[in-house]
Amino acid sequence: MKIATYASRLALVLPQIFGVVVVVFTITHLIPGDPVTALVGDYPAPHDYVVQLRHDLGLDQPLWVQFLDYAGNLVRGNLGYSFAYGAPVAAVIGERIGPTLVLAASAFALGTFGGVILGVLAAIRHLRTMDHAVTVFALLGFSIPAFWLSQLLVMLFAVNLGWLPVLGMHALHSAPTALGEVLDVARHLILPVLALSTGHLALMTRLVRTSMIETLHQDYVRTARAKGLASRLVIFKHALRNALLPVIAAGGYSVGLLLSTSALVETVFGWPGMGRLLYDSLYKRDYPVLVGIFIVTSLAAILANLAADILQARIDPRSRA
Amino acid sequence: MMRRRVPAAFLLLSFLVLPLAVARADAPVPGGTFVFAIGSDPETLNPAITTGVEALAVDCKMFNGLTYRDRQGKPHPELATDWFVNKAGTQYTFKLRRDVKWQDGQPFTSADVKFTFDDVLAKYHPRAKVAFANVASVETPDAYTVVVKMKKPYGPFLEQMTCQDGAILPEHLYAGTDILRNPHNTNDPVGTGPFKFQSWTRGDRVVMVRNPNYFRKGRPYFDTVIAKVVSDQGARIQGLQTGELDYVQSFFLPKEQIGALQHDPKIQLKYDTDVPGNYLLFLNDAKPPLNDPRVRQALLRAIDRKQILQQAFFNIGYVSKSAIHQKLWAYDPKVDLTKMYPYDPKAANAELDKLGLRKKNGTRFTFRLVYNVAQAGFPATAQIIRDNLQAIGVAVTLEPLERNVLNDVEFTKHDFEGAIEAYTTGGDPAIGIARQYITTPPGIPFSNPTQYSNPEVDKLFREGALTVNLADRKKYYDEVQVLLARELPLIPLIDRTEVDAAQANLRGLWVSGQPYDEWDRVWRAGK
Repeated sequence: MKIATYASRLALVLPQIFGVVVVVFTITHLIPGDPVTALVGDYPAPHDYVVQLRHDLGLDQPLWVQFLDYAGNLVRGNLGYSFAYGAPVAAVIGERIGPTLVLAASAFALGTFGGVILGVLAAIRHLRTMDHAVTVFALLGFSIPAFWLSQLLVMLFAVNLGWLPVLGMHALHSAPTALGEVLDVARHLILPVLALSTGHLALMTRLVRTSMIETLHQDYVRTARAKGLASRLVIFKHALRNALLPVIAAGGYSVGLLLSTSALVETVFGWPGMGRLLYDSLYKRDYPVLVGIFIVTSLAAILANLAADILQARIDPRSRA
Repeated sequence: MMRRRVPAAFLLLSFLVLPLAVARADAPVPGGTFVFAIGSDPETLNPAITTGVEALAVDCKMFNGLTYRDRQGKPHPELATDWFVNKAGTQYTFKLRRDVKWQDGQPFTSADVKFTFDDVLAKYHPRAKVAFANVASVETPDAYTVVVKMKKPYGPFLEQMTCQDGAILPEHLYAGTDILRNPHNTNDPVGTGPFKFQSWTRGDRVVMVRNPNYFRKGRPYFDTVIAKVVSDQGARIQGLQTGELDYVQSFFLPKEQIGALQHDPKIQLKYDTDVPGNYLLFLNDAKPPLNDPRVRQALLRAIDRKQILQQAFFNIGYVSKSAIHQKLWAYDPKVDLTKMYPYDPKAANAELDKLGLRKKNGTRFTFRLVYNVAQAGFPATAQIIRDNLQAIGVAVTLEPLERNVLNDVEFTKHDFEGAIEAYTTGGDPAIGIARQYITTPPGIPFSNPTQYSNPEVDKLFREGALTVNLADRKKYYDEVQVLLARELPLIPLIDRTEVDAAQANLRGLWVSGQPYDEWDRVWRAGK
């Protein structure tokens, strides 16, 4: 891809985001329910108080006025003000992005590397025990709901064996030192990362396996083998490099998948990330935060796909032309 | 001379110390961290403008009311040392502690109380506002005396002086500001309570630390208190099992899962009815044929509430006997719905036949049953009610809804025949029960969605609230219970028992009947 191609791809991001904003703003405001009643608590609130609150939040305006207000602010880089937290949306989301990145990036890395290794193993042992075992594992991993898997992991490793914690990202009863803190987070990461990465790992495994099997039957691989190159060199240098092309495209897609699944996994593990914020904001009908999260995650998914395209171009000489 | 006296003094001293050493096993051990669960982030760090359970559970560790209530509902000193009510119930005089400082070092005085009453509770607290509507003036004859003069007596006024409905705010930080937008509501709150704010990581935790200048010397015992946000109900049980959580109050404890805790030696459970709640089946009394009390009576006969108690709520609680919870002081034992309308589908069938509601193709009329899908026990309750009513020819469709959608359907549009709800009594009919029955316009969540309107019922609840003496109040409530047992604007299903869960090594818990007060006494035994 040339610079101009990158630029045109980048230019496409803006209209995509605009589309997301319109759709998401409309949908969130069309869900039945009222952020004001969610805000005043489980007790009949005085009528004038509710009216005042609705006015203060701008919810007494027609929807299109609310949208223009929102869009105007957005253009100036202002994501609005959270009803539930009484704080700027950017700050509310900003606080929660870190934990989600730690979780999603770990799951992405584990799923991708694990998937490549398992996929290659299955492909080079095509139709043998290893291949069948990997295939069954991948099928199970892809079909098992992350939410349910989370529960199983918690029951086994946290409740019954007592090895690992279930709640959140940091220990509750002790304040660790600097090095301790890294270990502490790592300990808390194990179960949610396992739960979150399994779907991605299974997908990667299946893709790499299929792609590898196909590549290994190509003429140039046979030629490489015929001229006596070491088997390891053939597999990793010649075959894998080509086999990875479809996998990279799927990796970009997986980012969106991981971000949406993390809402469930974060809820089970009390992980203080953006997925949980999405869940809580939906419950509270905190429209500005909802729209904000959708903008951030859509942006991440769009950029991940763009990155996948670029990476693919760099690996595959044919698409550089 | 001195030297000889030393052994004697030593002997004497050892006699004094020995019992102390024995008593030591029960003496509170200071230090450590206490972790409790909340369902989501607190709505605000200002307890005087909210009825949110999360907010109160957090904020009342940092703030105080003038009193707290023990488990019998009796008020005890908190910021007030003493109080007097005149005979007519029109004047309350509170004497305040003189040794209280705000956590920023400013002294606490009667001016803070007057400011909080006049400018905050009376205007912004959804529940206290009702009580303060009866207040004529708040006077401060000196820095440690507050006199509240009432326009009319209001029965539960003293009960509402706890942190739950009457937390006192610092005047010097709130006066002249927009109370709802004051920055201390979201960061750095300043109270008088046992713990001070340290940090709030949204979606994760609120951390509070020991207040060294707390007015009860030597307390609190914990160095750190953490409110941990756990939105998944199952994770709250698991957190108790792994020891990550120390305490989950009844509101946040999924009752259908407490079987996992009942035989766990590391866990202690408290079953109580201190401030009990009810499970209710609201009926839409404006829709025929439900506008006929005799039809509502037949429905009650057809519903097997004992089965609901056993299968949906695991026998925690009682089958309701009246509009008023049977463990509340205002309950009238002469009223017993289980005797008036025992479970008897045959009688219910016969009654509906007699009323001319004949079956067509096996169906007398249709019945939309709505409920909050996320509420523990409600799906099972709904299924039992559906089976029960179908047995007498009422075709029930179940509509599990999300809370916000339900509010709209139930309280604004009145688009249902039956709605299952969980309401708290607030410990007093005037606080939590009147709202279920009094005439209510549409659009007010957590009020009366039945559209039932009876001036006699309204009057009896009003009189019951505007009387001070309990015996006098009870007369009104006895009368209204007899009336409501006949009219049945709604069907009381279950009188709830609340269940709190805590680690077994915690001591000093459950001094107050409300889950918000008296955390300065709690400590952890053994290490």
